Amino acid sequence: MAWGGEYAAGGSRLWSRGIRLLPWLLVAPLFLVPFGAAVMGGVSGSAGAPGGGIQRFLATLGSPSVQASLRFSLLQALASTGLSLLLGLPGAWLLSRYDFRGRRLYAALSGIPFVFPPVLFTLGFVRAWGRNGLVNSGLMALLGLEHPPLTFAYSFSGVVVAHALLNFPLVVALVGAVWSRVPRTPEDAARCLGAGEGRIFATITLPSILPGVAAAASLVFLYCFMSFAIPLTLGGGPQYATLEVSIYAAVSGEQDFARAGTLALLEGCCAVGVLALYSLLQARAAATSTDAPAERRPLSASRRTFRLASAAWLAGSGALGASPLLALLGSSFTRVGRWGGTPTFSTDAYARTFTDPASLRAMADSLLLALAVAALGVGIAVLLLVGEGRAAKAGFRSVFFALPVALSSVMLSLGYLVLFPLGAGVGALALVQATAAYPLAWRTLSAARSRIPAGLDEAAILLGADRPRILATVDLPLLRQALFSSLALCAAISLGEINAALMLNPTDFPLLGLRAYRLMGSYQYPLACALGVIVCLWAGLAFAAADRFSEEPR
Amino acid sequence: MSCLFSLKRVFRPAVAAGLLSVCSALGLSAQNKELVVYAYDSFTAEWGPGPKVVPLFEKEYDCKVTLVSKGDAGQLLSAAVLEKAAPRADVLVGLDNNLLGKAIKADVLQVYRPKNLGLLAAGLDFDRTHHLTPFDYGYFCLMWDSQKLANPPRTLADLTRPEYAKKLILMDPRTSTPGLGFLATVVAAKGQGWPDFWKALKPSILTVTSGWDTGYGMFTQGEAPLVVSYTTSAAYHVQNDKTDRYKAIVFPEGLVMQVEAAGIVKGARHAELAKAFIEFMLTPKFQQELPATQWMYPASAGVKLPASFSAAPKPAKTLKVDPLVLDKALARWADVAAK
Repeated sequence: MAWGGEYAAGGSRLWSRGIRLLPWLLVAPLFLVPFGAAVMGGVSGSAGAPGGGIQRFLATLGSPSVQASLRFSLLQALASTGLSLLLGLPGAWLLSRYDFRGRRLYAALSGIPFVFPPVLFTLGFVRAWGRNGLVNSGLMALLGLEHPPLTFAYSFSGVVVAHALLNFPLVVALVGAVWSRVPRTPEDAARCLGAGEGRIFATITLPSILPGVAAAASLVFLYCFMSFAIPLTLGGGPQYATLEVSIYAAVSGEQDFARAGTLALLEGCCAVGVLALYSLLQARAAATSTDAPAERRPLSASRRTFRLASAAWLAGSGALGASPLLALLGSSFTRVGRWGGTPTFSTDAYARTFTDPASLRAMADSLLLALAVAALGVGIAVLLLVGEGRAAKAGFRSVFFALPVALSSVMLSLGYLVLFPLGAGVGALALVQATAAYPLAWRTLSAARSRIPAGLDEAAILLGADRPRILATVDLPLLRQALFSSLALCAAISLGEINAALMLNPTDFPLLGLRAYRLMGSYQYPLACALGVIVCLWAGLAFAAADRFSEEPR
Repeated sequence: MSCLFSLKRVFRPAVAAGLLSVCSALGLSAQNKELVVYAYDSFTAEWGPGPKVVPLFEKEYDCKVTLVSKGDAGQLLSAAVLEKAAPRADVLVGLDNNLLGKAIKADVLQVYRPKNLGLLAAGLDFDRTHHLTPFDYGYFCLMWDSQKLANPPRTLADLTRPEYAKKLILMDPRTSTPGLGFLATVVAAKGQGWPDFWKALKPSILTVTSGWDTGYGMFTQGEAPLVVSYTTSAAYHVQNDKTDRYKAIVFPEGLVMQVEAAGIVKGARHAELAKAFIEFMLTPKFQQELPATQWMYPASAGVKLPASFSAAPKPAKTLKVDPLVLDKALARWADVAAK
């Protein structure tokens, strides 16, 4: 559809062209420069540790540990995606097609991946499912067992299960949203023409819902492939290290920046491929969707067996998804000696958290950083919105500016450390976190804008407005909810981020996520859990506040 | 809908907050009487020696000490390498004898022979080039949970027996000094054949954690009955938990010693104060805080040990590994462990 630039007056056309160039000038360097500096510095040896050039680069690529890391990254991502789809699709189906009591609660569960930072998720996961966790202890007590029955933590299975529990709510949310917008009329028409339910499903429903599933699957695959916090804590050895963990080990443990650069390039190439695939699938899925969600049927009107099965599924998957968060909550209200012992109920952890000046400082500083990252992230996302049309097209631009999702934030941080050896502190951390967060904000805003009725923009063009003006005066006010969701999303990402925080580790700027990670590492579970609960609460509140401006029918 | 939360009102304060935080981070103070010490987590923690000894030094020399935690010893060295061009740290606390090769290769320390070197107990001065000055020592060993395991392994070779499958918690030698200590034990005992031993050991390993804290925490939470730690851990439990449930295993072949040390950063901005800090670390005022907080033997001769230290066995033999050999093994470890 024709855009306003050609119809506006000459002067503002130049300005609007300039605005469209801004992302290339301001945003692209944000991730290209640090990443490039880190990789080149590492491979050439100018980053402080010996480089080795191309020969070393190729030798590293072929070494057993790198091969094992790549293999593990790919296999666990595949398995995690599979399990996430298994756990998430039935829920997405129910959510998109039926109305039932507790629907809103289940839908709220699907917000968990956004408010629950992976490092704290791992904490809750171990508390719930670890060898000495709540489930195992409960089973052992109930069945009188001597050894814990569930021993999958700290292994390939542990990483996969943790990934699946964290990501299946994402599948429910993404796929549910896409499915709820699939037009029902072809199905109804087929029913009128006499086709059976099975035939309708196979020939009409399935082809229309598959693109959404494929898009969600590729996104979950990408997240699991780039995973850091979960394999770092649950991993259990170099054979269970994803490429991101290997990069961190190379930089932090071995000071081998050449190896880190090699790994980062390998990881980046694979991830960009998946990102491009996701972009294509996402555009495909969006192209076949309607503007408003289709009608939902009440679940109580279905057959009894279906109702019971659905209720069981919803309760079961809901409990699974909420188990780490609940374990976190439960553990935060216990008191345990530093080295083992039986836990007793106590609000000691919270008392200590709110009276310790160091932890109060961490809370204040983390909030400050989160606000800065939210402002930066959404600012960048809005800037990117200016230059694009309403339809979510899969093109070079959409993949290029989403690149930060595919680039190691450990390497981005290393890049800032290489470029600014004296002072890469909180400022660099804010930039790295904003770089990691803006693609998600951009997606949220983009998707919301594509749902604004085209008629409004066309009317504005007829009245002589150009693209930036339309964005500012027509679109943005209608995007209020999406804007707040994006701010909340960026803030939540910042609150829980540890990849860059571990690398940049600003000395006079204590952070909640890092503090929780260190406490978790020294097995001070109740304290770590208390901090985790606080972070999740804040992120949850931010999203709830954003939700209050919702214009969507619930 | 009122515009209470209009974009402008949220944006401006948020951007201001962002700018403020950036400015505060870049505002590096340039005090004369200041010392920046990078140390590992357990040194700077509330239960560690840092909070006790730093005020003593500050009072004696009328200065301000910034004690920074950099994670574990591996990360400590990393941080130093990254700021090599313009170092912010003056003193590094926590590098040990097994990291000497790496530290010298990284070229981040300057030579300093402390005047108080005479206060050191015999046999502890492992660095003849005087880049690193020892301040405490301990012995790496396997700790065993007597309540969860009836038959502990007696020697290193015993660990490969099928009865110990998934019962051993190790640490990553690239990021953890106890992890490196265990690798040193294996290399010292098996020599060039250490990769084959490691392969045979694999089935017994439950997990390889990145830090000692995590691994030992898993051990005390009952996740596995064998873990790499120090002989003095047994003493810790006797004193604090009033239990002798956790025991140390002393291999007949001998145990590897860990001598922890501190060094002055090459190009440090406050070299004089840094030298004073190194001297201070060898004096009784510093050394006497070590046993109860670090649970290591103080390097200085003549410091009184708590009664519980008698529960920590002393090995008959100490194993030693050549730093270059250990360095080579460490470089190969990831590949060996990943196969």
